[in-house]
Amino acid sequence: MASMKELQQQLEAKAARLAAIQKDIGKNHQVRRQYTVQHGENEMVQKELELLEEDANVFKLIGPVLVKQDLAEAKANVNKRIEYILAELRRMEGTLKTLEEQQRNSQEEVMKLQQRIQLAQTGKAKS
Amino acid sequence: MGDDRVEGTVTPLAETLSEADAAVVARRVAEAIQAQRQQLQTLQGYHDDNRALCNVLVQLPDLVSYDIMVPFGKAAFMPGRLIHTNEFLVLLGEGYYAERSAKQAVEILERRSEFLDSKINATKVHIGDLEAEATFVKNIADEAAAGVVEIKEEYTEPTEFSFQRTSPVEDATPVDGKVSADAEDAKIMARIAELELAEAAAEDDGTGSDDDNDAEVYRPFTPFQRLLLDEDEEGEDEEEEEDDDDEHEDFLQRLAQLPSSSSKGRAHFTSELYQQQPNRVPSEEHEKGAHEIHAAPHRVRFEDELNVERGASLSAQDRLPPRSHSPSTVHLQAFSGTVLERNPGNLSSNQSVAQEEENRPTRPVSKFKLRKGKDS
Repeated sequence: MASMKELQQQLEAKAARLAAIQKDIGKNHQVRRQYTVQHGENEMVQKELELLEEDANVFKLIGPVLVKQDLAEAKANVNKRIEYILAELRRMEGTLKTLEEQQRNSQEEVMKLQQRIQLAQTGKAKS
Repeated sequence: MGDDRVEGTVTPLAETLSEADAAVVARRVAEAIQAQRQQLQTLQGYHDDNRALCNVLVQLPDLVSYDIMVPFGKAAFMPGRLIHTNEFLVLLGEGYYAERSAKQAVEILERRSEFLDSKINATKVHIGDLEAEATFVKNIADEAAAGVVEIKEEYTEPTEFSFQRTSPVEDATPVDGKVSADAEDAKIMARIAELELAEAAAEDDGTGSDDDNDAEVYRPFTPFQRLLLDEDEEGEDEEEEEDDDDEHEDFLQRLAQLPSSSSKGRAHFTSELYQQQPNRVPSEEHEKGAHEIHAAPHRVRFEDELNVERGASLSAQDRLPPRSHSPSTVHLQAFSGTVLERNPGNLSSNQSVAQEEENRPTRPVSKFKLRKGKDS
């Protein structure tokens, strides 16, 4: 039965697409979690830097060496980093939403295909 | 009781949630709890580390220098000296280090400790929630497995109808001894509808005869019979106590007055009591209707007793008129003497005996009669 085969192929394609979307969503979640942790860490650093005296020595570990940094510079860097992380988190929220939308659509398509296949099978069984 | 009215729905819990689902949920919750416990443990570990580090930091500046073994590679140590004991580079996170004194470092560590504490508390609360969920899931699963059913019933005002229908079910216990059953039933009835009972008792006084007719079936001797058989046995029956004694003396007196044998006296008494019936009958009929609802609990209950005994059901017409229980034992017993004597032909003979009664106006009216007249 040709149409049956077609349907099966369609279903497989759709299922693969759905799986890919789900994988993306999973990845998104993971990255987001990572960013959330970084955000928390940066906030703590920011707080501590705020508490330091103006003349305190601040170092940044770059690779294997500690590089002396100006406190003001360090603060600015940390603030920028936090902003970046927040922007990233927002962006990921948006992509997650679109991904979920896609997942829903894909799921519906797969369900419809399954129903059609079932219908075709029962029809075949009757005839 | 053949109640075909459907008042609610009954669904087995196992139907709404399958055991497999419950198991899956339970497993997930258990996993979540496990993960949270692990996190709590790591947090506690951090907290302990922090505390230990704080102690070191507090003690380290005590001396200018320390002789220590410096780790050299993975397995080797070499002797060295620790100097600058009040200078620390504290990792703030994200690769940032700050040069701090011991005191300042301890401040940072304390702030971190507070943060850790809040996290630990949050985790503990979370674990508590998860555990509550786990017990809930487990309980539900157990109930479902044990075949607990969920009964949903709309609340409706309890009507007389449902009351009437339900009360016999509660009371439909076989009667072995009338007296004890009466006491028991009276207790139950009083609890269910005390007011109705009292009302019925007040109004039913004269209408118990038919009831007693049925009730006597189970009584080996009526009080009156027993009286005739053995005068000393008074008070043995629960219903024959105390204030009834003088009534019985009246009986005896009147028996003595009568010229003929005791059996004749019995017949006479019967007639005497029956004579009082006619004036009561109309009201009885009237009350019968009126009490259909009021005294329903008694009637139905009693009827049910009979049903249980006989294994047969009485139709609605056969229903006995309302009958009062313990509140009016005096009357019950007063009638019990007469009712047993009655035979099918009694009604016809009633009038003749009534005439006979009229022929003896000289005899003083007995206490018994007085009371009967008063109460009816």
